[in-house]
Amino acid sequence: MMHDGLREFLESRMSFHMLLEYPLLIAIGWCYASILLRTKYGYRFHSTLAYIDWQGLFGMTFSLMVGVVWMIPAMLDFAIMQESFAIAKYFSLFAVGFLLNSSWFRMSDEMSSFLIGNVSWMGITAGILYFDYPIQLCVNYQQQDQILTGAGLIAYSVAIGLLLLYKIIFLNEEPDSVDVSDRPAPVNIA
Amino acid sequence: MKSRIDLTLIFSLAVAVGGATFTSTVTTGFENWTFESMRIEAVKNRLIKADRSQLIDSNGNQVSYFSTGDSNIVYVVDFIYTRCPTICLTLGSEFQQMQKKLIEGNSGKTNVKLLSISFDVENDKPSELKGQENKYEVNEKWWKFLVPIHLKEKEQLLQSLGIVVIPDGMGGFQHNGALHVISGDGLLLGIYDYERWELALRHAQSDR
Repeated sequence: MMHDGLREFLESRMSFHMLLEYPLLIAIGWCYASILLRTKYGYRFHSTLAYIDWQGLFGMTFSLMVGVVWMIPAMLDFAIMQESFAIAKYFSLFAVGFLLNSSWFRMSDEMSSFLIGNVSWMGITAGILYFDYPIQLCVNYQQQDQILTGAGLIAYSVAIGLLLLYKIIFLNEEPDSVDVSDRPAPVNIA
Repeated sequence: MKSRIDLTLIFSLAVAVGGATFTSTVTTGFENWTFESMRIEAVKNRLIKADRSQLIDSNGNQVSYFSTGDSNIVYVVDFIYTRCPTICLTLGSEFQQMQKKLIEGNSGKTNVKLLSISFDVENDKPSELKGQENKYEVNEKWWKFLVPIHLKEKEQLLQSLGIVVIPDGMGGFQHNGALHVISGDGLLLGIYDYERWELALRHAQSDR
């Protein structure tokens, strides 16, 4: 699916590999699921998945596990050097996007916040690790690349975390206890 | 679309356990998280063996190295390219010191030789190797500069040893692992940083 030139470019630097290729694969999986859902088989798959995916828990577990595995430095090296690992990477990240496209819509606010919160926290931790680690972690990427990747990962994850906080603080409606005193007075339509 | 909590929990648990098991296997019990640490562990367990390789020396002669049979000899090997600017000068002087120690008297049990193998097959021909040998006053009895006969041979040799060469962003190259102690039949006995060349030499002289 990915032809060599594109793959070579995306895996040429650790920052591209982790911060461009990974999200790209997930996004492709997500989009593919949207397209597939309009077909009969897609709908049947969606129903079967829903059966074992109460509140999106399965999708969330799968996504977190896959994410953690592909953050391990050795896995980055193996994905470059061995075809079997590369294929596993493409398939698993694609599957994350694909599954999340239905799982996400089954998640309660708390569940989705938990998922995003975890992704943000894991990303910041991993980012700091990559940024600060004194030696080169991957044989295929230099330490400068590693530092940049760590910084990028921290930036991405902080942004995601802030968006989550914004959503929690400002966008969530409380259906049972609405405190109107905070709201501005209704404007008279003149 | 009804969802079953029990099936969800079972499948989610299966994924979590599966993921943990996979991670544990790959990292050999959550110990090794990088390729290089896995390689070092494999070396300790004597699992890494260099492929038999056809190398050309500075006189243009093709010689076979690391074939099974000659296990009496032990090599201290570094991987170089002759256009290397700075690090190779340090390496060269270290090898000169090692050569000096070898010439002065081999107190070890084994026969120790030094090899500088170029991975720049395109540019390093016998003449370039000869240039390096002259530069470092190489005594071919103890130290030889070599290059694999072609690209494929080089790739096989490096891959069998787990050595990955990458561009250093400044027109040159860098690779993992510095000094390699390799027995005549190809068994990788140890990997040493450049500063620890004396340890590498001692290892070559003592171990089998």
